[in-house]
Amino acid sequence: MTTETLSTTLDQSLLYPSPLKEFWQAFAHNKGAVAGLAFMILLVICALFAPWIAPHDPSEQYREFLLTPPAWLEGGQLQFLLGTDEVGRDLLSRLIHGARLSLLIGLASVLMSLIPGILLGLVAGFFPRLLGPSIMRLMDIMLALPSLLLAVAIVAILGPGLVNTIFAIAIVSLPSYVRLTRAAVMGELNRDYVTAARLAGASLPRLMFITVLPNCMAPLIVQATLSFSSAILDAAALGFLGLGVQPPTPEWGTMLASARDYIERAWWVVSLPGLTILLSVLAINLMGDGLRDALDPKLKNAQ
Amino acid sequence: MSAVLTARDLTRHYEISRGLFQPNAQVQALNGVSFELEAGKTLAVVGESGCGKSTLARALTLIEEPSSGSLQIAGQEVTGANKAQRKQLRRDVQMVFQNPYASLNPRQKVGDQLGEPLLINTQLSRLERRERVQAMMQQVGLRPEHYQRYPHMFSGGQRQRIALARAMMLQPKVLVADEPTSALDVSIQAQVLNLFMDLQEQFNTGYVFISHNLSVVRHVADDVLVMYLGRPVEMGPSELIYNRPLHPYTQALLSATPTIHPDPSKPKIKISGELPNPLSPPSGCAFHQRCPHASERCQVEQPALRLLDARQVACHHAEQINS
Repeated sequence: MTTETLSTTLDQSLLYPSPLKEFWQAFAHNKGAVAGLAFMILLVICALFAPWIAPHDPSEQYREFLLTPPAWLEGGQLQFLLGTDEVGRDLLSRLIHGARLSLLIGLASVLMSLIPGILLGLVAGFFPRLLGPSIMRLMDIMLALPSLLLAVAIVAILGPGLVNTIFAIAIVSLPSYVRLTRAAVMGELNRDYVTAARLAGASLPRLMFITVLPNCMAPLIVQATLSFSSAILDAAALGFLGLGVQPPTPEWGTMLASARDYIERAWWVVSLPGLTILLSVLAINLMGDGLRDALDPKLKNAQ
Repeated sequence: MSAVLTARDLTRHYEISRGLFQPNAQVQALNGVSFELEAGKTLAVVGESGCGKSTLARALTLIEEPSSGSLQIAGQEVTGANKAQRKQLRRDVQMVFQNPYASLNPRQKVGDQLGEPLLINTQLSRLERRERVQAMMQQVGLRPEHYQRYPHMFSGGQRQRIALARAMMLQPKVLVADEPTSALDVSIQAQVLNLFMDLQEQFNTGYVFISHNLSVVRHVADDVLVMYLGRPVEMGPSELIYNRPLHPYTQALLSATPTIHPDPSKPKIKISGELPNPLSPPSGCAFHQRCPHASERCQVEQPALRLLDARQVACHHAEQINS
């Protein structure tokens, strides 16, 4: 009897792929998500190997080639594939080097607001009498201030610099995660399956992270992918005010902001960083959609 | 046979805030319910909506503390038990919910959900847990390949069987079933009920079966407890109550059950009005406003449960009505 059951369990594990493989199969169903992932991998490779990939030094100014158009346009130079900016720096090299900082700012600020946001939201949802109201009022106060103003105030207190910029952006986007998590948690807490888990003797952390949290992830993933783009743009705004990443460090947002004077004469100086931000945000959103669908068993096999 | 579940004067009141300048109101959801449940027996709790059936279920499963009264599970007192004792007691009472579409976690595989009680409460290894889960799945009529599936891939009847399997994983002494078949197709109800009874026979579990479907209750129950506005009005062996109800409310409830061939000698008893507001329960007998036999005494004096014809009845006029 025992051996028989054992052999059937073994058969089952042969029949069913490992969770990782299963996840990948569900993810690969979504063509857009795979395309987004491919683009992100490309960006990450660019960021990691920037000094070897980039054709020029990103800070070197070729004074004789100011505002050279991209190579395929009239007057373009083959050595500056995407043209140069107002002080003659190679745009392609700056974009490749900029991927490092921009991806870092985006990812770090999203993670730094997502994780505390989920924790605070869970606590606020699980303790609606004691901790919940105080956490939520604090978040309301943060929401009441204009987000950029709050970020400027935080950077002014902490001092300018890359890490403090990330910190400020993370704090500013915290309330939306807390609110989303709390709302989802409160909706799920009254469902019978949570009561059933309680009856089974589940401890509080188990209830929070294993029973309830996976059922609240869908809006959080969407919010995280959306705020990735706003983090890059917020960092650019801070840089523009002289509070963020300092020039001449290449960073997409700062490049976009500093080149706006030349939009009529040399469109590529503004458009190319903008296009890069747009594409990476699109790629991340597609990935987020695929991630959400792959993690939801109901949507997994829906075609 | 010893009692696995003993309730004495179980009471649950809720405080309701009515605004800043008014005193809090009190809802008496459960008002002095006492019963004994023996291993392997089924006690059915019946009554109309709002009579406190679900509050009773929540109190019995230790989801909510009773306001007063005592509850003993397998001889051990619940109130005043320390944390470790409570954990053990909680193992002994499990529950099957009304809606099988809400009672299973949509993000967890069936096998993981069934294994969760074992993971939390026992020291079994992964493989042992899996074996126990597979054995239980077989018992409730699920195929081994269902182990890896998610709840949304199952029908209502299958889900309720999964829920039952989960409740039985720890082999509890008491199973509280809160209207377990009311969300199912009629064709599936009998199948699920029979599964309930098979498992009861096998594990010798005591069932508290909450329902408002009286024909289902007749099928499964050994004893019946009829509730009205948080109070028991009649309690006794199922056959006795079905054949000869003594309390006017029980009579009305039973005569409201639809039958294919109605007995012309038993006219339908109609009760008018609705369940009174539990915020301001009527004085005297809670049923007097709707009772066809109410007298002045009923308006003043609350009837206590008393032994009559081998069961307990809470009615002043039970003898006159039924003579």
